[in-house]
Amino acid sequence: MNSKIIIISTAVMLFASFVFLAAVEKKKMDINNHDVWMLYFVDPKSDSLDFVIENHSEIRTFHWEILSNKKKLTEGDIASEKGETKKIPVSSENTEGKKITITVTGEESKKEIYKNL
Amino acid sequence: MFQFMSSQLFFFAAMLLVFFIPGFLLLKALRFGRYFSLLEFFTVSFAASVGITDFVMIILGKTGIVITKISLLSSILILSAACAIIIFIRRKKNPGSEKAKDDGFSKRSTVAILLLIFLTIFIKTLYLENSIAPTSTDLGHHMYWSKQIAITGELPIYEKTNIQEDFTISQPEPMADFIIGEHLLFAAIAVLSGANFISSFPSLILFLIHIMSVIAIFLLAREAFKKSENRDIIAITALFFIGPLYALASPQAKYVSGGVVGNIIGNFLIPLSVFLFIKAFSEKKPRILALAIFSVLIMAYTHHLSTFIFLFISLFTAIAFIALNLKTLRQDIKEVLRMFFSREIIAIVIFALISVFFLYTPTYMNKEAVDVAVGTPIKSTRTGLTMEQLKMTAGEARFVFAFFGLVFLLFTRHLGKYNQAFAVGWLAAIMMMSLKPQWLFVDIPTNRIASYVVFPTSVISAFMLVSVFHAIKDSDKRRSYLKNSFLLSTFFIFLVFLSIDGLRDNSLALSSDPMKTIKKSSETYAASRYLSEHSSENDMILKDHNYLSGDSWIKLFFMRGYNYPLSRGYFKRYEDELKPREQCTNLMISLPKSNDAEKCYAGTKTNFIMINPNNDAAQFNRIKNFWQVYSSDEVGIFYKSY
Repeated sequence: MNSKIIIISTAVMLFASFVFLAAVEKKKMDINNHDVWMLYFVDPKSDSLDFVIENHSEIRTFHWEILSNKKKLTEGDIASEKGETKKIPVSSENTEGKKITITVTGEESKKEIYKNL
Repeated sequence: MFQFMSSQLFFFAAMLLVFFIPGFLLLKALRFGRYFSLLEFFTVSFAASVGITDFVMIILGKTGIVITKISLLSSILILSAACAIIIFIRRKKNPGSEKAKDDGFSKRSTVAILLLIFLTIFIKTLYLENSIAPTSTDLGHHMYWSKQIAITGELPIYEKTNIQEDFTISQPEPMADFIIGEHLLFAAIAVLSGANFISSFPSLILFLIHIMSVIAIFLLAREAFKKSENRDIIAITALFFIGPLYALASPQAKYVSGGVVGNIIGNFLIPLSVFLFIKAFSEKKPRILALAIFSVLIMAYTHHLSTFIFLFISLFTAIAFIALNLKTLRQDIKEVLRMFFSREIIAIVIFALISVFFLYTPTYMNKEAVDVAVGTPIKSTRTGLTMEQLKMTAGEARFVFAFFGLVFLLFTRHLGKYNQAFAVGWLAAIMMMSLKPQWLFVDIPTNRIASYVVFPTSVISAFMLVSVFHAIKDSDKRRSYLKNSFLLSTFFIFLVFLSIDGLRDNSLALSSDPMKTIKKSSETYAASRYLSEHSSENDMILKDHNYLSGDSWIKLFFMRGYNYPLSRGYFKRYEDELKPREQCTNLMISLPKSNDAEKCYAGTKTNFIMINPNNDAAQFNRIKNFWQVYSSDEVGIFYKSY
């Protein structure tokens, strides 16, 4: 009888612990809870310069600039909610032989990616 | 919310099917119920379920049946249903013929056990709350193989590629580092429940097995000191020393979050096997001995180090038995041989031989792997610990008591000859392997062996402490030159000393800050997802192990081979004179412009580099044909445009 109580109580305690830990893990591994954002090219291998801002932070507006050999070609702002992925198309005309850098600023943080075409 | 609840429901259902139902029903059908109390039977059937799941999956894989949800579920259910029918028919014929043994727990003992189990689970949960996220290196490596079983439905072929001297990548070569039993259980849960490998589920499985090992220690202590009038107090004290005290340090909760799969399973199967052997020999029951051998067989299919250590435990137990029972040795040997030549043992040995030689031979059973583990150790990490280091590994206070307990055990009578021999042999074997491995020709990292010492020290220190307590109680009856109050306060000082040492050990493990690692790891996984969607098998990726978090899990996003992506390991590994290794993975990140690095890039066809931009971006920014194509706080990806 006492064995039964021990087994059932242990099972209940473990069940509660497991559900709690699974919920904690789910919350902690949700990237939206880590205040990060990413910048990347839509196609990393080709000459395409289209890029993506993937936002998991509290930042709502990003400013982007496109530079050719450090000279600004164009710029713009884009609004993005947490969890949103925004794709920005960029023309590849007249970029051959140049280093094209995409710089994105969100509040205090800044990231850049580039291709040497 | 609904998705979370349904995933939990499937997960728990899968755990019941894998860890509880088949073993419970099979052992009941084979009439093992009458030998054990309910708690013992529950623990033994957990191990049997692990073994059954392993063998069912191996048989499915070897007979060419794809391991899917349907094939696995139906195999387990058919086996379980067959056992249930046998039990049902037998019960109808002889109702009440298979009552479990009375556990003999008093109400007070039950309350103490429950309280200690609650504290154990609570403290470990508190620790795991911060480390439950899947980020640990070992677990990532193991889950690659489990995921491979789950997605291919076949048994894995343990092989990996290497970078050769001509800088090219070799064909896959066999590797003996992993054993199938470490991966089948996780694959089974994932196949049955659909659980994602990059989640808490692998750690939760390890946590479950770990708690079962704590219960196994409790049962073992109870069995080992069965003839003592303080049997339950010793077992409860052992539970206190292995449960709430020293609950987090290696090889306890830290091994759970660290994903040290083989050790965690081995740490359950070793005490359970010792428990079964003691019970079989002392009750002279060949059927229980057969179960003990089955438990060792599961161990052999799960973890080579645990099996290796168990062999030494058996050897030292035999020596201790001979030394302690010289007068009755001839008769004892006759008894043991009679048990070994029973039909149950012959049947299980034949099953084991067929399994190992015809069904599936564990990967480490080859000359090279044996040569690696056996020999005179040279490396400083393998030449043994000092007594001081071993003391710290075992927990200072616990070790002191166990050390005196070992000596005390040798001179204690009426414990039962097998019980005494196993208790002495278990601790003596691990102490000797840890302190003087060269005497036994053991060539394995000593700290890995020493981690096993916590289990026998918990049991024997409990025996020692309770013996002191018992002596104090008895001093009432005898004339003692020391005052009773003095002895009692000494006992409580010992207890406080042990508790403070054990709890301090816990607090040290709780003090780390895990959120940074989880944030970094989730960035690594996001980058891996991006790269897996934008690369093919023709691309070769190199990632860094030094500055990326959770990087061993990256391969689960690709499933393109165990060594895919290539990895820059710890820097010290490239300078190991005893084990020279390829330099390409280091050069391609550290000095990408060097001539050798260029050859490495050409030979391995590496075109993506994944690094931490805070440490390694500068050298790539200066080279024209490297494009930075991905940027986040902790991960940068470069593409080499040839």
